[in-house]
Amino acid sequence: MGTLMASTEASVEATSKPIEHRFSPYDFNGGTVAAVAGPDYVVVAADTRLSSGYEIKSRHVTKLHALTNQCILASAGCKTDVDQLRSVLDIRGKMYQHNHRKPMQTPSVAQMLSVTLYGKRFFPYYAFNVLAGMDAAGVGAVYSYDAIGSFERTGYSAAGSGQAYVIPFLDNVIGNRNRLEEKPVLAAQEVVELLKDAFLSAGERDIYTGDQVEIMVVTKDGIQTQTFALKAD
Amino acid sequence: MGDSAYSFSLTTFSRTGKLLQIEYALNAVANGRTALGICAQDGVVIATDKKLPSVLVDSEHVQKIETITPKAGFCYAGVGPDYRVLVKRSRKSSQSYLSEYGEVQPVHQLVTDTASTMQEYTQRGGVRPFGISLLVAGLDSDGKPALFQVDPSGSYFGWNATAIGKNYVSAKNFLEKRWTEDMELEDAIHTALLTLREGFEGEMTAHNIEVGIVKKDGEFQVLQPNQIQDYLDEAN
Repeated sequence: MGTLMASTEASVEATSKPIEHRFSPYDFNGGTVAAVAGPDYVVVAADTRLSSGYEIKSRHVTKLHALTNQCILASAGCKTDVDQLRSVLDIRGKMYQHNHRKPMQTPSVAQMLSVTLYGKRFFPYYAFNVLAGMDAAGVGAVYSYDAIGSFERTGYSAAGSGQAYVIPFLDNVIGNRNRLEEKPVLAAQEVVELLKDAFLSAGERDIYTGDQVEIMVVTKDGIQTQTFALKAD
Repeated sequence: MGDSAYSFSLTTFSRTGKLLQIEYALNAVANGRTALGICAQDGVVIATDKKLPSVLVDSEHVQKIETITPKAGFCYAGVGPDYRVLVKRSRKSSQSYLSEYGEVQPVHQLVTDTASTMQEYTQRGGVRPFGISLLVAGLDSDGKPALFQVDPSGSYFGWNATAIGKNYVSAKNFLEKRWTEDMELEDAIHTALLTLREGFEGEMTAHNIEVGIVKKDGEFQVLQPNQIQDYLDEAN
């Protein structure tokens, strides 16, 4: 008798608050992107794993997109929003090229990306972007963004699920933080090796980062791509 | 605005295929005070007659040459109030460009944008064409100087040197003889002043003309009367 009473009370507690089911327009598809700027180059890297929840949807999806042959957009976040954002930027880039008879320079792409993101301030693109390219003076440029278009030119940056593993590493090795030696000038290939190390570490601890890293090196002559294998676990 | 009795265009084709409103607008331009421009190797100069109807008018408050972007400026011949509208609109549009692309709008983009507004007013319902021709002096995105003319129809032309308004025919003949490909901005300014003086009624002084220049790595500026006076003194 007593136990019967107790269970009825418990179920009244559980149903007293309304349970709301909502469709979420966003999904987090994981992954990490990073970029480092040099005196006459810029290196961008991103893993190729696409996840949803605890599932891996694909091991071979790129997060890098060349907007011009001197400028690459690296994005992590919700893949469908990233795809749409790329599409919109491509179209605007084409229109610019039709009107100006030349491709957009990186600083202009940077501004345009910011404006495009803010255009959806009240229903944002779930995209965490890093823009990397050669600036008008032939020097490497990296721009980091938040989801609604706030941006800043920086020497290096990382975004996505493994961001917290990569940035402190780059702070030490590229930014020379907490080091006593003089900051070295690194060649593009050295930076590539550093980014491989960064992604190896991120891949160890971040479940969403792994499978393969795609690395692109941009110089005034164009873009060169290479890949590097990561653990598939 | 465009929904009621005036949703049809006031500029319509004549039987012979002409748009008479545009022709009449060009007449209004040809009645306006002379304006001319010369594109040199290292810069562009535009100049205009600012002769006022009476000595009682305070010339300091009349400005015909206007800066639109740091690298480009306008001058006009024709109906002044129409000019003001275009100046305001072009300034706003070039600010939009700056907000979107983070760079100063190149002169060619400014010209096509302005020309496209002027064309709109020959086709939209309830409006008439602008009664002005514009001279646009500016630098392109790679720093090259350029001079453009934009007409009431919305057509635009790039020029090495040109003149619009009263006496434009004789002014252009004069310029044709004097323009050279390797001309420098200083020569161009002198030539511009000489050309302006040719058709000037009465005495030309630093207060009844306006001159605007943009140098290759510089910004568009309207010259002060004392600067114009220096050039006039040299020319004498």
